[in-house]
Amino acid sequence: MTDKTQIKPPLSGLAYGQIVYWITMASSFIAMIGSVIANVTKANFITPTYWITAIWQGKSTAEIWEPVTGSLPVGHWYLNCLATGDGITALGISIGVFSVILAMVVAGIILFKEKQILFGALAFIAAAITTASMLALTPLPS
Amino acid sequence: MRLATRIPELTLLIAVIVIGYVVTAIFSQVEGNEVLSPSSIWLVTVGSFLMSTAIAVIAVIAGVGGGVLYTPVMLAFTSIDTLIIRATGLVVAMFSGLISTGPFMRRGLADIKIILFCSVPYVIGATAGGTMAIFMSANMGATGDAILRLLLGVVLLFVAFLFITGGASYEYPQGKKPDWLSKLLNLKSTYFEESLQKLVEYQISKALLGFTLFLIVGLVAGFFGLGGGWAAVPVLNLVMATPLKIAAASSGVLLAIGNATAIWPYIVYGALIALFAAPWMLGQVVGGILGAYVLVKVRAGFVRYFLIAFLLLSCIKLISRGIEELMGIDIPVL
Repeated sequence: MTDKTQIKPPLSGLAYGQIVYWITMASSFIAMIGSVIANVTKANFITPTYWITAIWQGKSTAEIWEPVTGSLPVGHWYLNCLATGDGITALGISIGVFSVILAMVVAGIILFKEKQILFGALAFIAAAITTASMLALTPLPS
Repeated sequence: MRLATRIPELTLLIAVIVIGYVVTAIFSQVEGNEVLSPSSIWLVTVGSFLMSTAIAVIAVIAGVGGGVLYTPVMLAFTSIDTLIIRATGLVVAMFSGLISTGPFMRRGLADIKIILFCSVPYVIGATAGGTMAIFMSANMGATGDAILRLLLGVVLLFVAFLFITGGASYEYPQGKKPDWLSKLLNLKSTYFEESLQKLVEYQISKALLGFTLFLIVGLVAGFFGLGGGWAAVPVLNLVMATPLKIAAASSGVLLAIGNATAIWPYIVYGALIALFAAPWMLGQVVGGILGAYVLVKVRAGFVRYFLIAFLLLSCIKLISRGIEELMGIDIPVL
Protein backbone atom coordinates (compact mmCIF):
# COMPACT_ATOMS: atom_id res chain seq x y z
CA MET A 1 0.00 0.00 0.00
CA THR A 2 2.94 2.32 0.47
CA ASP A 3 3.45 2.25 -3.29
CA LYS A 4 0.00 3.65 -3.89
CA THR A 5 0.50 6.52 -1.48
CA GLN A 6 3.83 7.41 -3.11
CA ILE A 7 2.02 8.44 -6.28
CA LYS A 8 0.28 11.76 -5.95
CA PRO A 9 -1.41 13.30 -9.00
CA PRO A 10 0.35 16.51 -10.07
CA LEU A 11 -1.22 19.71 -8.73
CA SER A 12 -1.63 21.11 -12.25
CA GLY A 13 -3.65 18.06 -13.29
CA LEU A 14 -5.76 18.13 -10.15
CA ALA A 15 -6.52 21.82 -10.56
CA TYR A 16 -7.34 21.33 -14.24
CA GLY A 17 -9.68 18.41 -13.47
CA GLN A 18 -11.51 20.11 -10.60
CA ILE A 19 -12.09 23.35 -12.51
CA VAL A 20 -13.46 21.55 -15.58
CA TYR A 21 -15.60 19.18 -13.51
CA TRP A 22 -17.31 21.79 -11.35
CA ILE A 23 -17.82 24.36 -14.10
CA THR A 24 -19.29 21.66 -16.36
CA MET A 25 -21.59 20.59 -13.56
CA ALA A 26 -22.67 24.22 -12.97
CA SER A 27 -23.18 24.75 -16.71
CA SER A 28 -25.50 21.71 -16.80
CA PHE A 29 -27.72 23.26 -14.11
CA ILE A 30 -27.78 26.58 -15.98
CA ALA A 31 -28.67 24.87 -19.29
CA MET A 32 -31.47 22.90 -17.63
CA ILE A 33 -32.90 25.97 -15.90
CA GLY A 34 -32.73 27.86 -19.21
CA SER A 35 -34.61 25.05 -20.97
CA VAL A 36 -37.37 25.12 -18.35
CA ILE A 37 -37.69 28.92 -18.60
CA ALA A 38 -37.85 28.64 -22.39
CA ASN A 39 -40.71 26.16 -22.18
CA VAL A 40 -42.84 27.47 -19.30
CA THR A 41 -42.59 31.22 -19.95
CA LYS A 42 -42.81 33.47 -22.99
CA ALA A 43 -39.37 34.92 -22.22
CA ASN A 44 -37.50 33.72 -25.30
CA PHE A 45 -35.26 35.29 -27.91
CA ILE A 46 -36.90 32.96 -30.44
CA THR A 47 -39.71 30.55 -29.53
CA PRO A 48 -38.86 26.86 -28.91
CA THR A 49 -41.49 25.91 -31.50
CA TYR A 50 -39.66 27.89 -34.18
CA TRP A 51 -36.24 26.46 -33.30
CA ILE A 52 -37.31 22.83 -33.16
CA THR A 53 -39.64 23.00 -36.18
CA ALA A 54 -37.02 24.71 -38.34
CA ILE A 55 -34.40 22.11 -37.40
CA TRP A 56 -36.87 19.27 -37.96
CA GLN A 57 -37.71 20.64 -41.41
CA GLY A 58 -34.03 20.46 -42.36
CA LYS A 59 -33.54 24.23 -42.70
CA SER A 60 -29.95 25.43 -42.91
CA THR A 61 -28.36 27.65 -40.27
CA ALA A 62 -28.85 30.70 -42.49
CA GLU A 63 -32.48 29.80 -43.26
CA ILE A 64 -33.19 29.46 -39.54
CA TRP A 65 -31.63 32.78 -38.47
CA GLU A 66 -32.37 35.13 -41.38
CA PRO A 67 -36.20 35.34 -41.08
CA VAL A 68 -35.80 36.29 -37.40
CA THR A 69 -32.66 38.38 -37.12
CA GLY A 70 -32.06 39.32 -40.75
CA SER A 71 -28.64 37.69 -40.82
CA LEU A 72 -26.46 35.08 -39.18
CA PRO A 73 -25.49 36.03 -35.61
CA VAL A 74 -21.68 35.68 -36.13
CA GLY A 75 -20.89 36.24 -32.45
CA HIS A 76 -22.13 35.39 -29.01
CA TRP A 77 -25.76 36.44 -29.55
CA TYR A 78 -26.92 34.98 -26.23
CA LEU A 79 -24.90 37.52 -24.22
CA ASN A 80 -27.38 40.18 -25.34
CA CYS A 81 -30.44 38.26 -24.18
CA LEU A 82 -29.58 36.68 -20.85
CA ALA A 83 -33.11 37.26 -19.54
CA THR A 84 -34.50 34.75 -22.03
CA GLY A 85 -34.79 30.97 -21.74
CA ASP A 86 -32.90 30.17 -24.94
CA GLY A 87 -30.26 32.78 -24.09
CA ILE A 88 -29.65 31.21 -20.66
CA THR A 89 -29.51 27.72 -22.20
CA ALA A 90 -26.92 28.85 -24.76
CA LEU A 91 -24.96 30.55 -21.98
CA GLY A 92 -24.97 27.30 -19.97
CA ILE A 93 -23.54 25.29 -22.85
CA SER A 94 -20.95 27.98 -23.59
CA ILE A 95 -19.82 28.13 -19.94
CA GLY A 96 -19.21 24.38 -20.03
CA VAL A 97 -17.13 24.74 -23.20
CA PHE A 98 -15.30 27.75 -21.73
CA SER A 99 -14.24 25.75 -18.65
CA VAL A 100 -11.39 24.26 -20.69
CA ILE A 101 -9.79 27.67 -21.32
CA LEU A 102 -9.94 28.70 -17.66
CA ALA A 103 -8.60 25.34 -16.49
CA MET A 104 -5.76 25.45 -19.05
CA VAL A 105 -4.66 28.90 -17.87
CA VAL A 106 -4.68 27.83 -14.19
CA ALA A 107 -2.80 24.61 -15.02
CA GLY A 108 -0.29 26.68 -17.02
CA ILE A 109 0.30 29.06 -14.11
CA ILE A 110 0.88 26.14 -11.72
CA LEU A 111 3.28 24.50 -14.19
CA PHE A 112 5.24 27.75 -14.51
CA LYS A 113 5.46 28.02 -10.72
CA GLU A 114 6.73 24.43 -10.62
CA LYS A 115 9.43 25.42 -13.17
CA GLN A 116 7.87 23.16 -15.83
CA ILE A 117 8.26 26.01 -18.31
CA LEU A 118 7.74 23.99 -21.50
CA PHE A 119 4.51 22.33 -20.39
CA GLY A 120 3.28 25.61 -18.92
CA ALA A 121 3.88 27.20 -22.29
CA LEU A 122 2.01 24.36 -24.04
CA ALA A 123 -0.98 24.96 -21.74
CA PHE A 124 -0.97 28.68 -22.61
CA ILE A 125 -0.62 27.95 -26.34
CA ALA A 126 -3.61 25.56 -26.26
CA ALA A 127 -5.61 28.10 -24.22
CA ALA A 128 -4.66 30.90 -26.65
CA ILE A 129 -5.76 28.89 -29.72
CA THR A 130 -9.07 28.01 -28.04
CA THR A 131 -9.58 31.64 -27.00
CA ALA A 132 -8.92 32.79 -30.58
CA SER A 133 -11.54 30.30 -31.72
CA MET A 134 -14.01 31.54 -29.06
CA LEU A 135 -13.47 35.19 -29.99
CA ALA A 136 -14.08 34.35 -33.67
CA LEU A 137 -10.59 35.50 -34.61
CA THR A 138 -10.54 32.67 -37.14
CA PRO A 139 -12.22 33.84 -40.36
CA LEU A 140 -15.82 32.76 -40.93
CA PRO A 141 -18.11 33.35 -43.93
CA SER A 142 -20.65 36.14 -43.35
CA MET B 1 -27.75 4.16 -3.53
CA ARG B 2 -24.01 4.31 -2.86
CA LEU B 3 -23.54 6.32 -6.03
CA ALA B 4 -26.22 8.80 -4.94
CA THR B 5 -24.36 9.57 -1.71
CA ARG B 6 -20.91 9.36 -3.31
CA ILE B 7 -21.71 11.92 -6.00
CA PRO B 8 -24.42 14.15 -4.49
CA GLU B 9 -24.05 16.72 -7.26
CA LEU B 10 -25.04 14.07 -9.83
CA THR B 11 -28.08 13.11 -7.75
CA LEU B 12 -29.05 16.77 -7.54
CA LEU B 13 -28.59 17.24 -11.29
CA ILE B 14 -30.73 14.19 -12.11
CA ALA B 15 -33.42 15.46 -9.71
CA VAL B 16 -33.37 18.91 -11.34
CA ILE B 17 -33.60 17.35 -14.82
CA VAL B 18 -36.51 15.08 -13.88
CA ILE B 19 -38.38 17.88 -12.10
CA GLY B 20 -37.59 20.23 -14.99
CA TYR B 21 -39.05 17.91 -17.62
CA VAL B 22 -42.13 17.20 -15.48
CA VAL B 23 -42.67 20.94 -14.97
CA THR B 24 -42.31 21.63 -18.71
CA ALA B 25 -44.84 18.87 -19.44
CA ILE B 26 -47.42 20.31 -17.04
CA PHE B 27 -46.90 24.05 -17.37
CA SER B 28 -45.71 24.30 -20.98
CA GLN B 29 -46.38 27.64 -22.69
CA VAL B 30 -45.05 26.33 -25.99
CA GLU B 31 -47.46 26.74 -28.86
CA GLY B 32 -47.73 24.15 -31.59
CA ASN B 33 -47.85 24.68 -35.34
CA GLU B 34 -48.82 22.63 -38.39
CA VAL B 35 -45.57 20.63 -38.17
CA LEU B 36 -45.16 19.92 -34.44
CA SER B 37 -47.57 19.95 -31.51
CA PRO B 38 -46.42 21.07 -28.00
CA SER B 39 -46.42 17.45 -26.84
CA SER B 40 -44.27 16.31 -29.76
CA ILE B 41 -41.76 19.11 -29.01
CA TRP B 42 -41.64 17.86 -25.40
CA LEU B 43 -41.18 14.28 -26.62
CA VAL B 44 -38.33 15.32 -28.96
CA THR B 45 -36.60 17.04 -26.02
CA VAL B 46 -37.01 14.22 -23.50
CA GLY B 47 -36.27 11.57 -26.17
CA SER B 48 -33.04 13.42 -27.05
CA PHE B 49 -32.00 13.43 -23.38
CA LEU B 50 -32.65 9.70 -22.96
CA MET B 51 -30.89 8.80 -26.23
CA SER B 52 -27.93 10.96 -25.27
CA THR B 53 -27.69 9.25 -21.87
CA ALA B 54 -27.71 5.83 -23.58
CA ILE B 55 -25.10 6.97 -26.12
CA ALA B 56 -22.86 8.26 -23.33
CA VAL B 57 -23.05 4.97 -21.42
CA ILE B 58 -22.28 2.94 -24.57
CA ALA B 59 -19.50 5.34 -25.54
CA VAL B 60 -17.87 5.06 -22.11
CA ILE B 61 -17.99 1.25 -22.18
CA ALA B 62 -16.67 1.14 -25.76
CA GLY B 63 -14.01 3.76 -24.99
CA VAL B 64 -15.04 6.17 -27.76
CA GLY B 65 -16.57 9.63 -27.76
CA GLY B 66 -20.36 9.83 -28.18
CA GLY B 67 -19.93 11.80 -31.41
CA VAL B 68 -18.91 8.61 -33.21
CA LEU B 69 -22.43 7.28 -32.59
CA TYR B 70 -24.47 10.48 -32.79
CA THR B 71 -23.12 12.26 -35.86
CA PRO B 72 -23.19 9.33 -38.34
CA VAL B 73 -26.69 8.18 -37.44
CA MET B 74 -28.12 11.71 -37.58
CA LEU B 75 -26.40 12.46 -40.89
CA ALA B 76 -27.43 9.12 -42.36
CA PHE B 77 -31.02 8.85 -41.22
CA THR B 78 -32.39 12.39 -40.72
CA SER B 79 -32.76 15.45 -42.93
CA ILE B 80 -31.51 17.87 -40.25
CA ASP B 81 -28.97 20.36 -41.58
CA THR B 82 -25.48 18.85 -41.61
CA LEU B 83 -23.87 21.85 -39.89
CA ILE B 84 -26.37 21.74 -37.00
CA ILE B 85 -25.83 17.99 -36.63
CA ARG B 86 -22.04 18.44 -36.52
CA ALA B 87 -22.27 21.25 -33.96
CA THR B 88 -24.51 19.14 -31.72
CA GLY B 89 -22.26 16.16 -32.44
CA LEU B 90 -19.34 18.02 -30.89
CA VAL B 91 -21.45 18.69 -27.78
CA VAL B 92 -22.18 14.96 -27.61
CA ALA B 93 -18.50 14.19 -28.21
CA MET B 94 -17.14 16.53 -25.55
CA PHE B 95 -19.38 16.74 -22.48
CA SER B 96 -18.91 13.18 -21.22
CA GLY B 97 -15.16 13.83 -21.58
CA LEU B 98 -15.42 17.14 -19.71
CA ILE B 99 -17.28 15.62 -16.79
CA SER B 100 -14.93 12.63 -16.52
CA THR B 101 -11.88 14.93 -16.41
CA GLY B 102 -12.19 15.49 -12.65
CA PRO B 103 -12.32 11.79 -11.61
CA PHE B 104 -9.54 10.82 -14.05
CA MET B 105 -7.22 13.53 -12.76
CA ARG B 106 -8.01 12.75 -9.11
CA ARG B 107 -7.16 9.07 -9.65
CA GLY B 108 -3.91 10.01 -11.40
CA LEU B 109 -4.91 8.12 -14.55
CA ALA B 110 -4.78 11.03 -16.97
CA ASP B 111 -1.23 12.25 -17.64
CA ILE B 112 -1.24 16.05 -17.81
CA LYS B 113 2.10 16.16 -19.65
CA ILE B 114 0.90 13.86 -22.44
CA ILE B 115 -2.40 15.75 -22.60
CA LEU B 116 -0.73 19.15 -22.94
CA PHE B 117 1.76 17.87 -25.52
CA CYS B 118 -0.98 16.32 -27.69
CA SER B 119 -3.51 19.09 -27.13
CA VAL B 120 -1.61 21.67 -29.20
CA PRO B 121 -1.75 19.77 -32.54
CA TYR B 122 -5.26 18.54 -31.71
CA VAL B 123 -6.67 22.04 -31.11
CA ILE B 124 -4.94 23.42 -34.21
CA GLY B 125 -6.42 20.62 -36.34
CA ALA B 126 -9.84 20.87 -34.67
CA THR B 127 -10.09 24.65 -35.21
CA ALA B 128 -9.12 24.25 -38.87
CA GLY B 129 -11.62 21.39 -39.26
CA GLY B 130 -14.50 23.31 -37.68
CA THR B 131 -13.76 26.40 -39.79
CA MET B 132 -13.48 24.32 -42.99
CA ALA B 133 -16.86 22.72 -42.26
CA ILE B 134 -18.53 26.13 -42.02
CA PHE B 135 -16.92 27.39 -45.23
CA MET B 136 -17.94 24.22 -47.05
CA SER B 137 -21.52 24.53 -45.83
CA ALA B 138 -21.70 28.23 -46.78
CA ASN B 139 -20.16 27.85 -50.24
CA MET B 140 -21.10 24.40 -51.51
CA GLY B 141 -24.65 23.90 -50.20
CA ALA B 142 -26.26 20.55 -51.11
CA THR B 143 -23.22 19.37 -53.06
CA GLY B 144 -21.08 19.98 -49.99
CA ASP B 145 -23.51 17.97 -47.86
CA ALA B 146 -23.38 15.07 -50.33
CA ILE B 147 -19.57 15.10 -50.36
CA LEU B 148 -19.58 15.28 -46.56
CA ARG B 149 -21.82 12.19 -46.27
CA LEU B 150 -19.71 10.28 -48.77
CA LEU B 151 -16.44 11.17 -47.02
CA LEU B 152 -17.85 10.39 -43.58
CA GLY B 153 -19.02 7.00 -44.89
CA VAL B 154 -15.43 6.25 -45.93
CA VAL B 155 -14.04 7.49 -42.59
CA LEU B 156 -16.53 5.27 -40.73
CA LEU B 157 -15.45 2.27 -42.79
CA PHE B 158 -11.91 2.92 -41.55
CA VAL B 159 -13.12 3.39 -37.97
CA ALA B 160 -15.09 0.11 -38.14
CA PHE B 161 -11.92 -1.58 -39.42
CA LEU B 162 -10.03 -0.17 -36.41
CA PHE B 163 -12.64 -1.69 -34.10
CA ILE B 164 -12.62 -5.06 -35.88
CA THR B 165 -8.84 -5.25 -35.51
CA GLY B 166 -9.05 -3.55 -32.10
CA GLY B 167 -7.58 -6.49 -30.22
CA ALA B 168 -4.12 -5.27 -31.09
CA SER B 169 -3.90 -2.82 -28.21
CA TYR B 170 -1.19 -3.28 -25.59
CA GLU B 171 -1.95 -3.06 -21.90
CA TYR B 172 1.64 -2.24 -20.96
CA PRO B 173 3.66 -1.45 -24.12
CA GLN B 174 7.32 -2.23 -23.57
CA GLY B 175 10.53 -2.38 -25.50
CA LYS B 176 9.94 0.73 -27.61
CA LYS B 177 12.88 3.12 -27.58
CA PRO B 178 11.99 6.76 -26.97
CA ASP B 179 12.73 9.14 -29.84
CA TRP B 180 14.73 12.36 -29.35
CA LEU B 181 11.62 14.48 -28.74
CA SER B 182 10.22 12.13 -26.07
CA LYS B 183 13.60 12.24 -24.34
CA LEU B 184 13.85 16.02 -24.66
CA LEU B 185 10.39 16.50 -23.14
CA ASN B 186 11.01 13.82 -20.51
CA LEU B 187 7.67 12.21 -21.32
CA LYS B 188 7.74 9.48 -18.73
CA SER B 189 5.82 8.83 -15.55
CA THR B 190 4.57 6.23 -13.06
CA TYR B 191 1.11 5.16 -11.97
CA PHE B 192 -0.31 2.67 -9.50
CA GLU B 193 -1.93 -0.29 -11.27
CA GLU B 194 -4.74 -1.57 -9.05
CA SER B 195 -5.00 -4.96 -10.76
CA LEU B 196 -1.27 -5.66 -10.25
CA GLN B 197 -1.02 -3.83 -6.91
CA LYS B 198 2.22 -2.24 -7.97
CA LEU B 199 3.70 0.83 -9.60
CA VAL B 200 4.01 0.77 -13.38
CA GLU B 201 6.59 2.99 -15.07
CA TYR B 202 6.17 4.06 -18.66
CA GLN B 203 8.13 6.04 -21.23
CA ILE B 204 6.47 7.66 -24.25
CA SER B 205 7.97 6.99 -27.69
CA LYS B 206 7.45 8.42 -31.20
CA ALA B 207 6.33 11.79 -29.82
CA LEU B 208 6.83 13.54 -33.17
CA LEU B 209 4.72 10.99 -35.07
CA GLY B 210 2.04 11.22 -32.37
CA PHE B 211 2.08 15.02 -32.66
CA THR B 212 1.52 14.79 -36.44
CA LEU B 213 -1.23 12.20 -36.12
CA PHE B 214 -3.12 14.31 -33.58
CA LEU B 215 -3.09 17.19 -36.05
CA ILE B 216 -4.89 14.94 -38.56
CA VAL B 217 -7.25 13.48 -35.93
CA GLY B 218 -8.20 17.02 -34.83
CA LEU B 219 -8.91 18.06 -38.43
CA VAL B 220 -11.20 15.06 -39.02
CA ALA B 221 -12.85 15.43 -35.61
CA GLY B 222 -13.63 19.12 -36.10
CA PHE B 223 -14.68 18.83 -39.74
CA PHE B 224 -17.10 15.93 -39.30
CA GLY B 225 -18.25 16.84 -35.76
CA LEU B 226 -17.27 13.31 -34.74
CA GLY B 227 -14.82 14.08 -31.99
CA GLY B 228 -11.61 12.08 -32.00
CA GLY B 229 -12.52 9.24 -29.63
CA TRP B 230 -12.13 6.63 -32.35
CA ALA B 231 -8.46 7.53 -32.91
CA ALA B 232 -7.03 9.02 -29.73
CA VAL B 233 -6.58 5.76 -27.80
CA PRO B 234 -4.94 3.88 -30.72
CA VAL B 235 -2.51 6.77 -31.33
CA LEU B 236 -1.60 7.08 -27.64
CA ASN B 237 -1.36 3.33 -27.05
CA LEU B 238 -0.10 1.79 -30.30
CA VAL B 239 2.03 4.66 -31.62
CA MET B 240 3.21 6.48 -28.50
CA ALA B 241 3.44 3.39 -26.25
CA THR B 242 1.23 4.79 -23.47
CA PRO B 243 -0.21 2.07 -21.18
CA LEU B 244 -3.82 1.34 -22.17
CA LYS B 245 -5.36 2.62 -18.94
CA ILE B 246 -3.45 5.91 -19.11
CA ALA B 247 -4.22 6.21 -22.84
CA ALA B 248 -7.96 5.71 -22.29
CA ALA B 249 -8.16 8.25 -19.45
CA SER B 250 -5.88 10.81 -21.13
CA SER B 251 -7.77 10.53 -24.43
CA GLY B 252 -11.06 11.46 -22.72
CA VAL B 253 -9.52 14.61 -21.28
CA LEU B 254 -7.66 15.42 -24.49
CA LEU B 255 -10.78 15.04 -26.63
CA ALA B 256 -12.71 17.41 -24.42
CA ILE B 257 -9.99 20.04 -24.99
CA GLY B 258 -9.93 19.56 -28.77
CA ASN B 259 -13.70 19.47 -29.14
CA ALA B 260 -14.04 22.56 -26.94
CA THR B 261 -11.89 24.35 -29.50
CA ALA B 262 -13.63 22.90 -32.55
CA ILE B 263 -17.10 23.85 -31.35
CA TRP B 264 -16.50 27.62 -30.98
CA PRO B 265 -16.69 28.38 -34.74
CA TYR B 266 -20.05 26.55 -34.82
CA ILE B 267 -21.32 28.51 -31.77
CA VAL B 268 -20.16 31.85 -33.14
CA TYR B 269 -21.74 31.06 -36.55
CA GLY B 270 -25.09 30.25 -34.91
CA ALA B 271 -25.00 26.56 -35.87
CA LEU B 272 -25.36 25.39 -32.27
CA ILE B 273 -29.07 25.72 -31.53
CA ALA B 274 -29.14 25.77 -27.73
CA LEU B 275 -32.62 24.37 -27.09
CA PHE B 276 -31.92 21.48 -29.47
CA ALA B 277 -28.42 20.78 -28.07
CA ALA B 278 -29.20 21.16 -24.33
CA PRO B 279 -30.87 17.75 -23.80
CA TRP B 280 -27.99 16.11 -25.66
CA MET B 281 -25.50 17.92 -23.42
CA LEU B 282 -27.36 16.95 -20.22
CA GLY B 283 -27.59 13.31 -21.32
CA GLN B 284 -23.83 13.24 -21.88
CA VAL B 285 -23.12 14.63 -18.41
CA VAL B 286 -25.44 12.17 -16.65
CA GLY B 287 -24.55 9.18 -18.88
CA GLY B 288 -20.84 10.00 -18.76
CA ILE B 289 -20.74 9.74 -14.97
CA LEU B 290 -23.06 6.72 -14.83
CA GLY B 291 -21.02 4.93 -17.47
CA ALA B 292 -17.74 5.66 -15.72
CA TYR B 293 -18.86 4.73 -12.20
CA VAL B 294 -21.48 2.03 -12.63
CA LEU B 295 -20.85 0.17 -15.83
CA VAL B 296 -17.08 -0.15 -15.98
CA LYS B 297 -17.42 -3.78 -14.98
CA VAL B 298 -19.77 -4.65 -17.85
CA ARG B 299 -18.13 -6.81 -20.49
CA ALA B 300 -17.16 -4.55 -23.36
CA GLY B 301 -17.31 -7.35 -25.95
CA PHE B 302 -21.01 -7.04 -26.74
CA VAL B 303 -20.78 -3.27 -26.96
CA ARG B 304 -17.88 -3.57 -29.38
CA TYR B 305 -19.88 -5.84 -31.72
CA PHE B 306 -22.86 -3.50 -31.44
CA LEU B 307 -20.64 -0.56 -32.32
CA ILE B 308 -19.14 -2.31 -35.36
CA ALA B 309 -22.61 -3.24 -36.69
CA PHE B 310 -23.85 0.28 -35.98
CA LEU B 311 -20.90 1.90 -37.77
CA LEU B 312 -21.19 -0.35 -40.82
CA LEU B 313 -24.94 0.29 -41.07
CA SER B 314 -24.45 4.06 -40.85
CA CYS B 315 -21.56 3.82 -43.30
CA ILE B 316 -23.70 2.04 -45.95
CA LYS B 317 -26.48 4.58 -45.56
CA LEU B 318 -24.11 7.58 -45.64
CA ILE B 319 -22.32 6.39 -48.78
CA SER B 320 -25.59 5.58 -50.56
CA ARG B 321 -27.09 8.98 -49.59
CA GLY B 322 -23.92 10.76 -50.70
CA ILE B 323 -24.00 9.03 -54.10
CA GLU B 324 -27.75 9.65 -54.46
CA GLU B 325 -27.38 13.37 -53.80
CA LEU B 326 -24.32 13.77 -56.02
CA MET B 327 -25.56 11.73 -58.99
CA GLY B 328 -29.30 12.44 -58.65
CA ILE B 329 -30.15 8.73 -58.61
CA ASP B 330 -32.15 6.57 -56.20
CA ILE B 331 -30.42 3.70 -54.38
CA PRO B 332 -32.93 1.55 -52.48
CA VAL B 333 -30.84 0.92 -49.35
CA LEU B 334 -32.24 0.84 -45.78
